[in-house]
Amino acid sequence: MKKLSKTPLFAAADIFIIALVLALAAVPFFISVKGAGAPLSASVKINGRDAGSYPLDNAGEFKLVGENGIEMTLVVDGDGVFVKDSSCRDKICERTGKITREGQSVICMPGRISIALEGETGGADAVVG
Amino acid sequence: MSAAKKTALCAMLCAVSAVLSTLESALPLPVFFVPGCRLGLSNLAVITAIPLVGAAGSLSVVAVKSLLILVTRGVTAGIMSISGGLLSLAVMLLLFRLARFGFVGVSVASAAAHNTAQLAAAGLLMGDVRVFSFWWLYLLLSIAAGALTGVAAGVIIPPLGRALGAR
Repeated sequence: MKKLSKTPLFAAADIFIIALVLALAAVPFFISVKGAGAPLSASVKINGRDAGSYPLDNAGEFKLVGENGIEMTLVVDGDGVFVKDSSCRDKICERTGKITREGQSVICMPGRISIALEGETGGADAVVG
Repeated sequence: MSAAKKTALCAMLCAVSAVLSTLESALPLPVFFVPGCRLGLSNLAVITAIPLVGAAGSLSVVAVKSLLILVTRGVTAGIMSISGGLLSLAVMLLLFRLARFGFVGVSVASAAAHNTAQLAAAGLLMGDVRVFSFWWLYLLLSIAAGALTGVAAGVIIPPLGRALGAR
């Protein structure tokens, strides 16, 4: 182990670490743009199994029941979905807020529920223009 | 440092990490509007443990912290905590050993590793890779949170080490 007194608060090499993390963070911006503009639907999985798909143009409130007795209300409106009234105490899914773009997701760990926006056609095959 | 002193210090750091972790979950930061994202204050105890009590000692700090979360917040949170804790500890041990990086760099790398391991654990638990959709955001926040705790570590650890008679 390096001598403690020799470890600086900030070293030049730290810039490399920060740049690497920034580069990793930039990756999704280059791969998640396809299919933009396709009609979206919220695909729900519970414990890894498909548990329904909710097209965004079919607005309404839907009850989801996950593992460990966790229940929540999925609200679908014209341009996105969000979760309200989750019975879990963490409320992480509620704090995620509304998701509106393809690829975004709302996750409930205790209930093993994941909700993600997907293009209804499984992504655009061809975008012209 | 004598073995007894080391053991006592290790136990104190375990207690500090438990307190910081509890304190942090009691005070959600309004600055970070990202679901489940926290500053990672308890990592201060781990990053302090590495130079002062070594790899085995710091592993015990991570284990105690995760055990506390397992008992108080359930199995899922416990698995998430231990996954993040172990990968971030491994990264910190490696970077300290390479001896080229400062506290800020080590802390940023550790925060990024912590978040990545947690998402991977979440993905395995849920059977769904879509949990990675906000990975980029967690990575950006790990730079901010890691830099903050890194500065705190760099300010606290050297005088603490001298006071305790470490090298």
